[in-house]
Amino acid sequence: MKPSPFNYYCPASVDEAVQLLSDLEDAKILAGGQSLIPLMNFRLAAPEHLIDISGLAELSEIKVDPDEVEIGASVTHSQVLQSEQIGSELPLLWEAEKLVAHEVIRNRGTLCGSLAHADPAGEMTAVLSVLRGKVQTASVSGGRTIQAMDLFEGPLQSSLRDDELIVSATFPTLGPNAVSSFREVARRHGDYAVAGAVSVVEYDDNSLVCSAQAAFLSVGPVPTLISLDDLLVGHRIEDVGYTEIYNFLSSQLDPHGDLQTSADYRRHLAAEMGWASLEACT
Amino acid sequence: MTPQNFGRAIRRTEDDRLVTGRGSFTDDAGSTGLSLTMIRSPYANARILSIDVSEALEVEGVQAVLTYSDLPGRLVEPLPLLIPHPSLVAPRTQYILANEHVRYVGQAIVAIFATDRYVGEDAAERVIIEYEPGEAVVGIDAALGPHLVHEDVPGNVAADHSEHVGDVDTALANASHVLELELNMERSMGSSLEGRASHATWDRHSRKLRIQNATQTPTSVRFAVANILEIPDEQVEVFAIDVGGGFGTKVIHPWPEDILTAWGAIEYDCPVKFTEDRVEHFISSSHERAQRHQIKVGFDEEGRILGLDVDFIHDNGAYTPYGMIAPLITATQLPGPYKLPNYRVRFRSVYTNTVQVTPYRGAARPHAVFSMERTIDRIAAFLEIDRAEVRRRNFIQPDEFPYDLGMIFQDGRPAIYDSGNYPELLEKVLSMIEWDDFPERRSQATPGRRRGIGVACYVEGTGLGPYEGGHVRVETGGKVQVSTGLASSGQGHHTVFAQIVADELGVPFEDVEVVTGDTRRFQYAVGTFASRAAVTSGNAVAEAARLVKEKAISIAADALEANPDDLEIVDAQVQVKGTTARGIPLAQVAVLANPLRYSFSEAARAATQFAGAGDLDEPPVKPGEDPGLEATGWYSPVRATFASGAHAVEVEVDAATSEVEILRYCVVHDCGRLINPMIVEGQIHGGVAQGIAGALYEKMAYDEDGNLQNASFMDFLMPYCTEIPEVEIDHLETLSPLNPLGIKGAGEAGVIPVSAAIAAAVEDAEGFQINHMPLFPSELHEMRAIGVDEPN
Ligand SMILES: Cc1cc2nc3c(=O)[nH]c(=O)nc-3n(C[C@H](O)[C@H](O)[C@H](O)COP(=O)(O)OP(=O)(O)OC[C@H]3O[C@@H](n4cnc5c(N)ncnc54)[C@H](O)[C@@H]3O)c2cc1C
Repeated sequence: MKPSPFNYYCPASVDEAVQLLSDLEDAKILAGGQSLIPLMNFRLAAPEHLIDISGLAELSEIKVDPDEVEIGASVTHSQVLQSEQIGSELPLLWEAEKLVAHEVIRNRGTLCGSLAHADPAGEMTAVLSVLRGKVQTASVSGGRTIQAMDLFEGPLQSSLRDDELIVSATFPTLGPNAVSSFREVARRHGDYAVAGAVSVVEYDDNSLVCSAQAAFLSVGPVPTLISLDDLLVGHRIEDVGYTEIYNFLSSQLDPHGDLQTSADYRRHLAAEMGWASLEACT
Repeated sequence: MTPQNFGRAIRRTEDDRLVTGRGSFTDDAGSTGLSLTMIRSPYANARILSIDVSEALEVEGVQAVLTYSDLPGRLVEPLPLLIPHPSLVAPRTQYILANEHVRYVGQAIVAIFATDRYVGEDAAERVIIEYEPGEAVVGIDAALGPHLVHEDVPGNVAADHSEHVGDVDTALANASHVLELELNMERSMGSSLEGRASHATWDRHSRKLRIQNATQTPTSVRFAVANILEIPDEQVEVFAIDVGGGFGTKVIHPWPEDILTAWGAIEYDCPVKFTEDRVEHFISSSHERAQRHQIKVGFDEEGRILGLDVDFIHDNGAYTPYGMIAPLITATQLPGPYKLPNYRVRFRSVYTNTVQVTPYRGAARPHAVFSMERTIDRIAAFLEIDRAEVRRRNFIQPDEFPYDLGMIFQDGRPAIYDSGNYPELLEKVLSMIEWDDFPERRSQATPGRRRGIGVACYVEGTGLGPYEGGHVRVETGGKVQVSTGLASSGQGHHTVFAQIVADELGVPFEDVEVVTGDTRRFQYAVGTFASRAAVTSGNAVAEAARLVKEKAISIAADALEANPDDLEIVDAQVQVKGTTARGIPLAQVAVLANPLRYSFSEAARAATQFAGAGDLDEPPVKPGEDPGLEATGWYSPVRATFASGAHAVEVEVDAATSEVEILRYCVVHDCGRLINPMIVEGQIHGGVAQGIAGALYEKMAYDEDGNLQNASFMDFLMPYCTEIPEVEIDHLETLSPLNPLGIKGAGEAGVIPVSAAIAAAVEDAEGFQINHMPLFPSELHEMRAIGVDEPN
């Protein structure tokens, strides 16, 4: 469990980082290293060059506006949890971050690293999806904005080009009539979820649902976004009720089994979590 | 002796060092010299056709790349079979490096000596091995099938063993009721924080091979290394300073890497280190626990067991270095605290193409207890009698000790329970968990959850022989040095042995310094396993302390011109009983104990030739005496001493997620006289945690080709502390009549009945039978759908 030899670079700016990324063959960005280093130790990944962006001041900013929260690429999960502003403007992000691993991992792991890693079991990928957030990138040929739905292509596969760096991620905040909730089940405290759901529900002035979205983690190759608009718009969640919502979600989900979990149980659990997170939005 | 330390919850002296990063583990032993990296088989069963190491040799920093054919001398032999047994008809042990065949994924094939582990792994990628894979035998069903793990072992049967007491067939035929059960337990492993490790240096000036090894048995590693390398024992020193957990795996020895590091240190004349990584620990050390039990029980209307017939299969993996000890323990410990006038057990220990199976904390007792306790619960359910009541009716009674099971225990001696009070254990634990009020609590379960309660009792043979020794020396500076040969891997030996010696000798606890597991200090020992260290080494150091005390009193009697019978040692001073006025410090007695020609201090002058002490007509050291205030004591028990306990657990199972939450976990434990209640409780906490791990979280997920699919802590769900509830503990102290201190072992107890207790509680909550462990939410979800635990 020792990595293959690699060259380590510590650029002084984003410009320098993207230059290196473009010049070097087989280079990878190193952020918190909490996903990449284990892969390298198992020799499942053996990049020749690592470009460490964790010390870049340019990427360390958290910007909280009334409409959106923008988080720089070197911001760690712990720093997100330390930002009182995020806690008040986008409590969902806090709720989700608390479910990411353990404190020691959150102290190093970055939110943008989670997104770049594109793990369908990650909480951040699900939150970005349900909020329809986006990431900003940089490269020698210029930056672009990638919408959440275009970012995740498969398990550990994003639409980032090899020469591209995520600079920040942007999460829209919720309107005054919207409620959100995150529910998941992990076998052990802090583990990746066996299944989980994050729901965002908007209400009209009569307290009837006018939009209901849920994103599911650990149930497919990418975060699974399900709209419950057809089922819920114009109703109250509690009136539609557990059975109908559970059955609808079960019918929409097609997860896989693994060492701990049958596909059936995971579908059941995801639907339960979907229901629980929607119920918590009432 | 008035005990001042014995029985007190003294804080562990080792912890200050360990929790501040000042432990001295094998991997801390320096990084000069060479590092050993192994290439391990990716196949569960294959013939090796060719190995090409030429490219690896070109990697900078590589000293040597060895395969089986490069091994010299006795290194070509299979590793020793540690414990032979007449029923072990076809024992097999592995070679240091695979000889033509590999029989499990993880078996060592190539050894690379390189400047560090990084270079070693780079070189490993460049070795080309050609295999001819064969059919992998994975799991008990496959072991009973047509494919063989060892071509010359028919039916894959390593051992076939039977024992019985009474006449089971008649008892079953005459019983009013007979029930049958099939029970399964899965594999897990000890998962010590520190893996296996060895660091060997060769001092060519003094011709000593010095080995720091993460072992539970340094003296045995020493003999094994000397024997295989064909060098005198005298040249080999083995010590285990700190060992980061053992749990049984580290009693297995010598590992291939132990021999290769030792050999390499001499061959390359430099230190050689091997530090196992976590993947290697999963696939190339030891597992335990996979057994399938067929049980037939006959009983009367009252629930009294008349006959019990057990036939089980033990999956021993690819090799049997520890013989058939694990299944033998199941067989002999299965009766537990119950009277079984007619009991028959047969087991077959079978080979599979998986990691070898050797005892892991609890050592096949969890299976025994699972069998017995599930059986009792089944009887209770059948007769609709309270589960506790059926236990009461079957207990061995307090006045029936010594109680002879009529079987032969793992030490080759009769299994005779020395003492115990099982009814009281049960009553205590029932009142702790408020068993009788449970129906009320059941109805108060959290909405959406089902509540259940379970209880399980066990007896554990501990403290077995053959022996341990202890050495105690009082230094002239007043420190008391204690050493014993067995090694410590977190048990708190340094604290409890000091408590024992302090009281026996009459010195402050703080003055006693303990060293364990260092062959330079103590050459003869057996090892730390089978909950035996406190009983064997504890009694040995106590004996050594008594001998030192005797000697100190006799020397002081001369110096004080007093009658030895009138003297006592209090607070490190030898004095006339009851007075502190006429006394002589023990440190000064230590000076006098060693007649000197050359003084080295003011105090030491008293022992020199012109100091005027002693009878001038006698030699300074009288015949039959030795200089120095020191003694060696031994303790060799006639047979094991039997600890016991009862666990009770209350759970809630979530209707939506099928997760099991433990609401309360209660333990009543009897290990005889408690030396240090805090340490015993710590042992129980750790044991219960491992028990919960085996009940709800851990299993070895092999695929049909013999790949261990969860060889990491990401996928092998060793619980975190967040998964372990608070454990409530009470004690009973039924002294053992077998040893002077009246103690029994406590190291493994916590783990033993956990699966049984949790299965009972979940069964009680769900209303369908639980027949296997571990139990995952996913399975429970499916079992709920069909309402039964199908034997898998
Ligand atoms: C024991 C354990 C438990 C965990 N549990 C959870 C959990 O429950 N939920 C969860 O979501 N996560 C979990 N994680 C993962 C952890 O959250 C991620 O490792 C972390 O957030 C990823 O960020 P990082 O900064 O460590 O990325 P790194 O490991 O440094 O990088 C990961 C990947 O993303 C790329 N990358 C990183 N940053 C950028 C960037 N700015 N631009 C382009 N590419 C980039 C890297 O090249 C690499 O391929 C766990 C990790 C561990 C070790």
